[in-house]
Amino acid sequence: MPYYKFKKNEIFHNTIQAHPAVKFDINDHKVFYNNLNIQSGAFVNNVTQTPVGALSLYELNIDRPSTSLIYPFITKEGNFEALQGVSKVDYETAYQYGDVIVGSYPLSASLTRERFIANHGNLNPTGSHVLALKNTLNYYTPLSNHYAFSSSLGDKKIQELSLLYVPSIFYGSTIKKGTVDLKFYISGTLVGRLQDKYYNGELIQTDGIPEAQTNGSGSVAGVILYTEGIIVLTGSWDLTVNSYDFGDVTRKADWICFGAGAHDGNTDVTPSASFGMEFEGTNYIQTLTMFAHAPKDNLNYTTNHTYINYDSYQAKKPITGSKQYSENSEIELHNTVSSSFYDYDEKFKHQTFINKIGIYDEKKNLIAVANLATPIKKTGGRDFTFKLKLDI
Amino acid sequence: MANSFKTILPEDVATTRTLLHEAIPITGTIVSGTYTNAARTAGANIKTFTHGMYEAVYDYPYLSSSANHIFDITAGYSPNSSLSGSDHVQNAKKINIYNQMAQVLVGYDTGSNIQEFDLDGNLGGGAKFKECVFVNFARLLTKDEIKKDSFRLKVFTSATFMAPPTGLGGLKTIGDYGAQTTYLTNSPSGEYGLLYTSSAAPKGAIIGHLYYQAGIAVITASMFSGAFGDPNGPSVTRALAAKDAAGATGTGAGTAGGGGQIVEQLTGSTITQLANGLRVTINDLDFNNTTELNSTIYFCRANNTEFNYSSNSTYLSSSQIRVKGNNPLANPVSYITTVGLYSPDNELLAVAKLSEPLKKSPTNELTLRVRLDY
Repeated sequence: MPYYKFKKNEIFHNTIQAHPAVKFDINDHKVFYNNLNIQSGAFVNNVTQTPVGALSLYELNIDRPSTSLIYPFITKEGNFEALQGVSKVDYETAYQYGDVIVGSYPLSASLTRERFIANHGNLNPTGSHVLALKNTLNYYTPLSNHYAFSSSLGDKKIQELSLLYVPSIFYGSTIKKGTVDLKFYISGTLVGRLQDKYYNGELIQTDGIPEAQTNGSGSVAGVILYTEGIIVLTGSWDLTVNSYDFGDVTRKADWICFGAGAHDGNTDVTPSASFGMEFEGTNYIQTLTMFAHAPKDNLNYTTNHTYINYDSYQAKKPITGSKQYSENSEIELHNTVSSSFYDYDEKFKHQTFINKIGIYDEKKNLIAVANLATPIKKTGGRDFTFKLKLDI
Repeated sequence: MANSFKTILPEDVATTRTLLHEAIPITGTIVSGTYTNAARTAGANIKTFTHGMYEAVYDYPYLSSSANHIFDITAGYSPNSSLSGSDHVQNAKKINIYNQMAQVLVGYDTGSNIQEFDLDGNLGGGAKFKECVFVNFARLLTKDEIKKDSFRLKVFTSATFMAPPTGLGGLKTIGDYGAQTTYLTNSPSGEYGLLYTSSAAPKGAIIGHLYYQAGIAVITASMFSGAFGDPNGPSVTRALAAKDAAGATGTGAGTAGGGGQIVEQLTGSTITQLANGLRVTINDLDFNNTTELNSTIYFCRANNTEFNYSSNSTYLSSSQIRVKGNNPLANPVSYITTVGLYSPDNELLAVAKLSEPLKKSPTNELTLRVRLDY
């Protein structure tokens, strides 16, 4: 089996940029992710054991009864390692060295909303979440002035607003610019629509019923932090004529009410209000591309036993002794060249069939194997280049 | 960009290794019963293959993207086994399976011959496991390795007839008892422990090996007595099972383990049917996995006279240090928010962010513990 060393221009490291489509639907204080509903199993009603609209981090404990769940544990040692959910105080006081700290699966994440009333201030746990975004929002002001934490366009420290948090497990590295689409429905009617149509993070009202369009067509109702996965909604103009119950407030619909019921503690949102959020994420996949060449007049022999003519081999077996092992150099090869004619043998030609390619490290350890879908006939006059791709 | 670099000395670096575990319970109903047909053979969570070399067990119907692969089951015997015979069903495949497992897990002798699984792990001699069933656990569950002395398999070993759940008997809990201190290392695949039928001293019979890093359990077929096999297999298999139901001992008695159905099945059944036979005998399976978390800890020490100034452009206002409050006699003050780790060429390699800024002045000293996991 011959070995060939990859040359410099035969190995490429590339990055594939993938954009998974993400769709959230919020209705009656429930969040749905990509139209997925609860899947019932043999032991539990919800096989993933995560709320509808949530993703499970490791996707373990699928359809398992509560008595046989997979769970993590760690022994308290001197390295300050603990599991999520164990506070610093508990780690120091509730556990002795050698104790086992037990966690639980599944770990889930979903879209979450948080509404801030006017003059919300800087107290925990509400206003501080807005203040924490001050530097981040100001960082993006070169994209748009609407990012500014405080400007003539508004002061986010005191103005009423809402935040929508999208965990990164849903979008990967960043949300793709120009793909964000928020839809506000009342009784199935699209009353307003926001899009980042200028690719700069501004969420601009592009569609809606006459009331909404009269009040805010083309206006910026908020901004999105693409990398952080946070949407800041500040648009307070009326989208509807009538008032509706949005859980913590009953009033005419506006963009601050968008997403009401999305894990924000509101359970009495009017069922006629529903919200749609669509965007595309961005995943970077590192790939290794290798070009394996099969040159002309090479790779025309195989060490496969079936390549040797059996009768010839039997007649000319290796010479063995206490001081030598010598194969006979006149063993005939099996002629694999097929003829198009009946009862006629073609002349012998060197011919092999390549069915797999092995990748070896510098110490000739086999580290990967590429199998071909069908064997490729290799003759002396043919040369091939096989393109091998590996996601890393 | 930092305005001040400080070299990290060898005594400022420590490496640690933390072991994180997960408890993996696998009830017998997942393996056979929940998603399978009445006879517990074919099932939506059991994937078989046309090559017939093994079957895969999932925790949920495998067509669902939610399903997780639990383990594969296969079986085989040594070419030196008395059960090896060219007229036996899938004879070559069973030998190939055994040889493949043995060459990876036991290795070769000095004569380049594949060594057989040894009962007590002493390859120099003694009894061998020549007919085995293999349970290859998924890497998803075993992670870096199976935790030693955590493997417990409850299995019915002496069925009276194959019509589960009735007819099963002889429940035994096999485990790698005491392996925390008695594990063996003479395998090319890492460490392994012996599987015993009892934890009490003496620990009972050795009936297999558990390879911790490879995540493979090797169980001798001789553990099973009485009826064994695919309860819903082809007529020949059912006929074999019926022998024991009628009280017959089987034609292969004494070869694999003193008689019983297992001998008939090893020679007369396919590997898939053998795997089905093993699945229906599994009552419960528990083990803990291990994930190694390797860390390097850099102790970044800021002495009293160090890091009290910042090159941040906002640090100065009209050429005066802003945080000193226009008091030229006050000590310089800075707030540490970030620690950068640089290469010897001053290339920024890693950044550690503090949850809140730390006040630094000539009156205090700080040691920031930066941990890098990999």
